[in-house]
Amino acid sequence: MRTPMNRRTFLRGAGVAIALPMLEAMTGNAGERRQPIKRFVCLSNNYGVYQESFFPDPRQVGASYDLPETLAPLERHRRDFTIFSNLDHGNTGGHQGVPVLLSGVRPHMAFGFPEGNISVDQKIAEFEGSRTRFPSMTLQVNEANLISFTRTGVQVPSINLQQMYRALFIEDGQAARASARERMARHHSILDVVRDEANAMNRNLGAHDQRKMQEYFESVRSLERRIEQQQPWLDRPRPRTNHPEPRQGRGTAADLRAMMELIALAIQTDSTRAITLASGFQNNDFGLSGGYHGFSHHGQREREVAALRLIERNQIAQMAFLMELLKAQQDPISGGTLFDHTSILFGCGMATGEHSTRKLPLILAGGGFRHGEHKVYPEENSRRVPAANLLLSILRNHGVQANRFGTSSGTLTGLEGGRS
Amino acid sequence: MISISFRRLRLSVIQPIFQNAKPQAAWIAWLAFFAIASPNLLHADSPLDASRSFLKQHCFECHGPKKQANNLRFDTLGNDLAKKAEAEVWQGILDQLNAGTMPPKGKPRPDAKEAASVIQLLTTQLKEAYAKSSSTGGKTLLRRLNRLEFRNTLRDLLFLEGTADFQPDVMVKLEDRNGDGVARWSSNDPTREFPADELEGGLDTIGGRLVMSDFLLTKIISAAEYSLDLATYSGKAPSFEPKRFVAPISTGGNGGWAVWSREVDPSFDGIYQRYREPGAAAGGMGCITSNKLSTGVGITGRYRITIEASAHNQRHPWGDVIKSKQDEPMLLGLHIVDAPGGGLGENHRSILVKQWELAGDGNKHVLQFELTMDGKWLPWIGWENAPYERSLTPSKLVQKVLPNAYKPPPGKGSTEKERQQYEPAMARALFKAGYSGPHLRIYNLTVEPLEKSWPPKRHVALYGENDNVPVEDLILRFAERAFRKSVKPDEVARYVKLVDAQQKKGRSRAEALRAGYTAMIASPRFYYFSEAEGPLDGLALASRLSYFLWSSMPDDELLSLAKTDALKEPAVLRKQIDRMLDDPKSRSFVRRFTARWLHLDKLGTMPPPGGFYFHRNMEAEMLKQTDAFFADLIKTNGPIRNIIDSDYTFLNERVAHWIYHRDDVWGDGFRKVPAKAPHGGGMLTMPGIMTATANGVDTSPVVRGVWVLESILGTPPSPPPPDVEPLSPDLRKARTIREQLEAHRKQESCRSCHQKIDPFGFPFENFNELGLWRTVYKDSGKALKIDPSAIFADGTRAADISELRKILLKREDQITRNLAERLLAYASGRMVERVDRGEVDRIVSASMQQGNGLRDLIKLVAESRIFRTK
Repeated sequence: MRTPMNRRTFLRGAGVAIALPMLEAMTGNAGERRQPIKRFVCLSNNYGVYQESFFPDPRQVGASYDLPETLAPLERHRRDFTIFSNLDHGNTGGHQGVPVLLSGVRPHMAFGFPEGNISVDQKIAEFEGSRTRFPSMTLQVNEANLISFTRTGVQVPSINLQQMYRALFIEDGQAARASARERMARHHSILDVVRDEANAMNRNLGAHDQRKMQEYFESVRSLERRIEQQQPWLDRPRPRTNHPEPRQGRGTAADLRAMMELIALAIQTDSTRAITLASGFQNNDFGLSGGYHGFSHHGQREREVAALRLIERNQIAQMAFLMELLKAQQDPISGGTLFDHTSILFGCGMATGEHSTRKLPLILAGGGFRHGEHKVYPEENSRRVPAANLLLSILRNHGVQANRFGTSSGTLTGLEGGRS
Repeated sequence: MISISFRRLRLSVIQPIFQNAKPQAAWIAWLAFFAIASPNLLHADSPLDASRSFLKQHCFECHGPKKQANNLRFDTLGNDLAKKAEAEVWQGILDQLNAGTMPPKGKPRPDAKEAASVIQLLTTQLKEAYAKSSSTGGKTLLRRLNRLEFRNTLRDLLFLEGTADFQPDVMVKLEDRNGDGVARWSSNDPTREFPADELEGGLDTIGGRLVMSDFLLTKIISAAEYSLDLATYSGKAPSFEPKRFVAPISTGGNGGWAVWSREVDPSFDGIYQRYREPGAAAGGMGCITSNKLSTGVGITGRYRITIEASAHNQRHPWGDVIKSKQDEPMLLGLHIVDAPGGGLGENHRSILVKQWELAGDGNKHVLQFELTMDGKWLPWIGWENAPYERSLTPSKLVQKVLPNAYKPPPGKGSTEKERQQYEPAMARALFKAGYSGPHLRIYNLTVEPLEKSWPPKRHVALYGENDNVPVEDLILRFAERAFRKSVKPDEVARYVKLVDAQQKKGRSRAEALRAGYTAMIASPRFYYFSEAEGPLDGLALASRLSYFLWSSMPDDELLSLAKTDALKEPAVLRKQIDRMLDDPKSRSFVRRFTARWLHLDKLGTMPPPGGFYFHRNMEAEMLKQTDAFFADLIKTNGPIRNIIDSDYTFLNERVAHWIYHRDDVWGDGFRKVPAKAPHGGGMLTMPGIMTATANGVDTSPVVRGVWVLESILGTPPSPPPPDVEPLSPDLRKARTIREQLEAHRKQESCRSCHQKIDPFGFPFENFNELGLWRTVYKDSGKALKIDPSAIFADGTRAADISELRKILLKREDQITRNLAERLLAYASGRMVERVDRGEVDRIVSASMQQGNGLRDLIKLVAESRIFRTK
């Protein structure tokens, strides 16, 4: 087991200068914002969990439940997280469940929903707009990130350790900035022209086709808005840090840990307020021989089950590490620690490697909710609670005024905000 | 409005009607009232009534007042075929009767004659109803280009043919090349970061389904700018002199044999072995090319490659030491490979472009090939069916053929130097005596550019011969091709204005023009199909036709025929279809359509772990195999039934050796060979399909059964009920999948669907998740025998895959119908609806009458009303 985190060690190692926007917020506009700044981080894998070692005994509801083996690294944080049993999105589909985690809406059914299959991180990104340099950051470590979707059904491409570090801290040179400025201006002119063309073309279309053309108009509008949002950030300097650029490919545990450090830095510098991460497994790591997908089809065989437990426990251990990093940082704007204002969701849209999508593994930490319990929801089909309710609760907690999200039927009963 | 295949809609439409208890009760009460009060009001007189006594006798037991299996009830079914819901139920009844799946096994079969007359009645009634309602549905919605179409169009619009990663059948995707779960890019394809296209019915050409988003629009603009850069040149003209390389062409580091041969006779480069070991380790030996080409041939464009070569000793007496194919001519292969890729023999991006058969008689031949290739690529020569290096140990050869020169290998106490020099000494002895084993001799290699203008044509097309060419002219010329129609100057005024404005802001003429071109490419006039409702005019038809058969824009010949509407004449249309199918650009159609129709696009999503799949580049090889088979059917107008079973197949050495365990096919090129047991012919058991219908770890008869029903027969089963838990095999007890699926048979609610699905999947169990043949499952240390037999819903049995093929062949017209509908949907940009039934029927019966050739079917599709109407 690891030794407890030394707060000073982390602060010294990181040596981050606070990002300018946050300074401005501190001196000027902090009062205008009625709610504290909140962040959302989703940590996920693509294969679910080995349920027998992940979920507490279903009879142990409430605060005094025995912590199951996979969750052992969270022992120290018992009072700061909640584990949910019997929540899911009510669909089937094995691996197809994975992209559904953060909305409850399957991509091919998205057209039937007012906001499509937008994921909760992207909804938050829309809400935050250009307040941070990056409306959201979609990350991957040794895995493909399949869980972030825009409202038009676009799966947001993800970046790795190196790319994230560079995005956060590496300044574009003068030439790069000038060319970026010029590109934005050029694209703005191009968009004017094509909108004009689309108007001309639209006049000769039938009613059905005109409706389809709306997608094009909306795309142009949205792109123009994005350019406007990005422009001011061109000239603002990025935060500086002493934290070295992480090397990649150093193994499952090392890579994931390095990513946790970058996530903490991203939050500390207010570079973004919505993050999703998918992490996997480097073949033959941990002294095992084989790949994640193979292990996930465990068929209850000892060797595969043991491998899964190792992999999952590491993921939970790194989640605990992230929680420590955030607890060690004061939040200069909202008071308390960064952890108090950051919701961390661990989960997967496929419950187990055996392709079940029932009883999804879901853990929520931080964010100011009241934590510390094992919450068990009804198991019977007719009384099941949609997991999207948890997502809606997270959204509301974030400050987004929404009454529904994805397949939600309301906010999650039994989950309360604590201090805000 | 989104068109959905009606079959899938059937149950979801019916359930709401029948499921809601309260209104149903009221409704039935009213029904009863009217039934008593006025018997005729319930069913107004209709020819359909003639079938009701049949239905009562054979169907009402499970689909009547007492029981409504699958929520279907027939005694209260109306006969107004104008109502979509009712028509779908009648259509469902007809489908089940036709397939013989109803009544189910165990129930008394209806009299054959009676059933036939009911089938006939329903068929004609429904046909009429569909024809009547043809004005209501079946329109293609505004359709955008998909990713492949966009990339190909950029290639043709900007004259980028030959540029790597614009090849018709290569579609770059994120690739996990070493199985570690992380996918990395490996190309310069401008569309490599495009989001996946939205699918409907597995197809990515359905207008109503494809979506435009701000994300996609950004990518379109970037891709346009990137591609315009590729077509822009600066600086002085390079030399256009042909590059001639005379032996020794390959210098140094090419393996012992080449060096030893050169010592004795430097007038040729000898090739003695294969360029790659069967373990697919990178070679480099036996690859002839010049160092001077190491950065590529120069400028992307058209080249003529000339090789002077001779082949020797195809037949030789050294057969038991040198393993070569003595009864096959020696194959000289010309490959191209990207320069930075390195590793000639096993570079994944190396492409075999031409093979020549050479008689092993020692006569010199001059071989020539013209191709358009990327300037950063280079040609290399190899011997396709050469023996492998390991059968060419010089000492063994000397021992056999020159016993007098033979010396035994240095034994204990010898020095390192002695050991190292042993084989070379033996080899020199061989050559001194005159090597009479099989080999190729390459005397010279010439690379000659055929496009000698500077700047190249693609640059001039964008910027004119010089700066004095007016911007308006360039824009207009570009627009005619980009917008695929005739264009008037006022239609492009906005683009000219943009170019002028950019120049005023200080951009150069070239930069400003590029902005204008980018805007045109991002504009809806380029990115969407321009089709007015009703019968398509010549230009709209040309576009649809070229995107159907080439996944790209029409070429000049097609466009000029279209402008005069000549294209609409049947004879002209047929001739163009033939021309287009023979053009290499149709490789996009072959690759794309088979990937979508047969779900081969799933390859790589759940790859088998371990080195086999990646190191041997199996995925690419599998797709080349399915391409070769399908393309051959098109070329020869082969019968569609060959897809199910044929006495031939297509193999190259790698697939033959590793998957089929056959050693009678040599070389990288795919060719037609006789099919052999147990794999047999047809496409169904090809490794590409077997891998795509498995999950990389194990196989499932349910998945493959669904695949057969969906892709081959066109009768996809309903999805499983929402609260069914997926199969969680408990492999500790080592039960076979058949034993585990027994659960389906035991439960009433599962059985009705699974008895239709599982039997189509069991016979495939002899093929593992890579398509390798197996007779036992090996798991948990035990070997469990595989039982590939199947019992169908109507009682028919299939003992194994061969019998399943025979059963499928009996349904040739159903299979043809499904293929026709896929082709129609793919080509027309909309799903086929019941309103199209009449037209589909006509196409299918016309095809069956003509022998059911694939090429003919494609023509029937392109000439159909569905294809030629918006």
